[in-house]
Amino acid sequence: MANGYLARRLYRLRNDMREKDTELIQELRATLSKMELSLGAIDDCIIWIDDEGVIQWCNEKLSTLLGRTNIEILGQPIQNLVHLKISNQPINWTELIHNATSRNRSLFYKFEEGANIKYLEVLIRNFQQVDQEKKFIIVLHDATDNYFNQARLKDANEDLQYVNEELAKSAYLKSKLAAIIEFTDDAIIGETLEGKIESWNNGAELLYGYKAEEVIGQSTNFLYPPNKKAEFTDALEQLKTGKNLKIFDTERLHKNGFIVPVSVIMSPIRNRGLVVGFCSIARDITELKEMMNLKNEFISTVSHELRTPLTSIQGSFDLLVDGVAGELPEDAQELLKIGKTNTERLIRLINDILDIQKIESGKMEFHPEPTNIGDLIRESLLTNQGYADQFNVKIKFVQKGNGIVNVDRDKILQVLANLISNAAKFSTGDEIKVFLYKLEDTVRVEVTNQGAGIPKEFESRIFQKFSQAKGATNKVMRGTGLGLSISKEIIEKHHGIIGFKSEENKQTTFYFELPIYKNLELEESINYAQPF
Amino acid sequence: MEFFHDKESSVSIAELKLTQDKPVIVVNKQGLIVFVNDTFEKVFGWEADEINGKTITTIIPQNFHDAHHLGFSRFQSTEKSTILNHPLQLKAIKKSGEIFSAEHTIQAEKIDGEWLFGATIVPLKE
Repeated sequence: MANGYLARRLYRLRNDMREKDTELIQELRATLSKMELSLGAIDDCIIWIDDEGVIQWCNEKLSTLLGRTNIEILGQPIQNLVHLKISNQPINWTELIHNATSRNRSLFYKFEEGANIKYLEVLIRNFQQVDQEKKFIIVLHDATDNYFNQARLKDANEDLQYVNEELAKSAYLKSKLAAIIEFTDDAIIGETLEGKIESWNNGAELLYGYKAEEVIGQSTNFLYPPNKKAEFTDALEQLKTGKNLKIFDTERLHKNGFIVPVSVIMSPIRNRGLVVGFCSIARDITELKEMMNLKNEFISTVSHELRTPLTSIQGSFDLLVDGVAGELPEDAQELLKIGKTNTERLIRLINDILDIQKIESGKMEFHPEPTNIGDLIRESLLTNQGYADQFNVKIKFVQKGNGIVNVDRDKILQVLANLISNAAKFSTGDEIKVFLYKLEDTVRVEVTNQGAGIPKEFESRIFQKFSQAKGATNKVMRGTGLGLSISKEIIEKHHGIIGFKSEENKQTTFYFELPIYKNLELEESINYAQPF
Repeated sequence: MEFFHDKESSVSIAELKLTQDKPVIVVNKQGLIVFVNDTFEKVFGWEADEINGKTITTIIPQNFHDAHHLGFSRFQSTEKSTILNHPLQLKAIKKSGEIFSAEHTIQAEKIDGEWLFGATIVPLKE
């Protein structure tokens, strides 16, 4: 009985224990199931291997990555299944497993299966359970995006480095330019659109007497003497349109109140095509002016001193040629004529030089009066026809209009004489033409001849002093080279313009325009068309 | 009674137990072996009395224990599996410790609310 009881107790006890075991196992299985599902849900591949690399378990991500089922993967050595490359070399799993101690996520391993290319970070952790073999957990993290981002970052870094280098270069250039600007003797001022000073170099300090800190931010207006104030506004207006101001001589006011003669050039500063400010460069021309004055005075004195005896010589030649001292042999007469012609030429030269001096020094006086330009031209033709006759040239006047101009008659006659005599001298035809037109608010006078024309290379210098085209040097009728220069000064003093157009070996036209002072009555202005 | 295998090749575990031409093993929901046939005894070297009541991991090589535990556990909570009802090449281990490759076909069947697993394990000629 007792044994039967014991056996039943024992049986029940065993059943109880078995039920407890079963419960425990079920619980553990539930936990394992959750873990398995969790590991399947993450984005990384998780692989358990033994110390020989044989895969003991992996999550679903590895199946997806390799395109193989779980069963195909399990029990296989990882070396045979997961092919990764680093720097184009296959990775050595055995070595990697052997050295597995810490995280190694900084490297990108390339995974390539057909068209499926990924960059993976590999993490191997070694763990050893009590009384168990060494095992390893491998995590493969898809870092493809990261890899390309790093590549892009690298590119961006390279770009940035390039930009930095360029910046450094331009900074170097900038500092070089700044040094040049700082140490030149010329006064270089940077100004805003409104004429406010932005930069003021050492040269400006020397020339105007102000320190940069005294003037930065101020208008440059204070540099202009009272009689030059208009220059300031005119210059600003022109510069704003983007035009350079040609170099010009003017005056500026020094801090200590005295006037500084300067030569100035002003130009707009552009940024991306827009005018954002101006730059003015001024050079002190005090010494230059003094030297010019000395030179002019010298020439003037010498010319005056020369003119008096030359006039006497010319008079004597005239008397001798006219036979006052009796009939002279033909040889002597020839020689006297040469002497007379050259004396006249010398006198013309001296007169021209004196004219230029007067104009340049501002001493030439102008006495303007309202003048009928058509009548003035007619008068000029009368006096110049004689000269033209020497060259067998007729002067023809073609009048297409007329006007009253406010001019110094003698000076305009001088210009006409110069243009007509030039035209006659250099004519290859038998006539020269003088045209008169009335334009909108000017009258235009043109003097045209047939001839060699003006060589292209000479065009730019034609109104300069002492300039004559090369071809002209052989000619007997060589002039002083001052005529056109004087004419230009005279016309410009009358607020007119002078110029020429030339067709080489065909014809040349010199013209000038003068502002109309008063319109003539209509009937008067249209009844001319007749040749002189 | 609920079957968990495809219809065409459907044999119940009860029928499977009658199979004699290949080794058959039946495991309960806890993973304990409840039946082996004569062929199994011959192939694996185990007597039925010896092996009944042992866990199925007895015939699974050590390397696959983790995978088995996780897969088996997951099936119990999700009742979803990828390994059922088609031949699988897996290793198995004999009583002698010899590991060999075999074609496993595993099926599952719910009887009175409890899962029962049956498998044929045919050694592969190497």
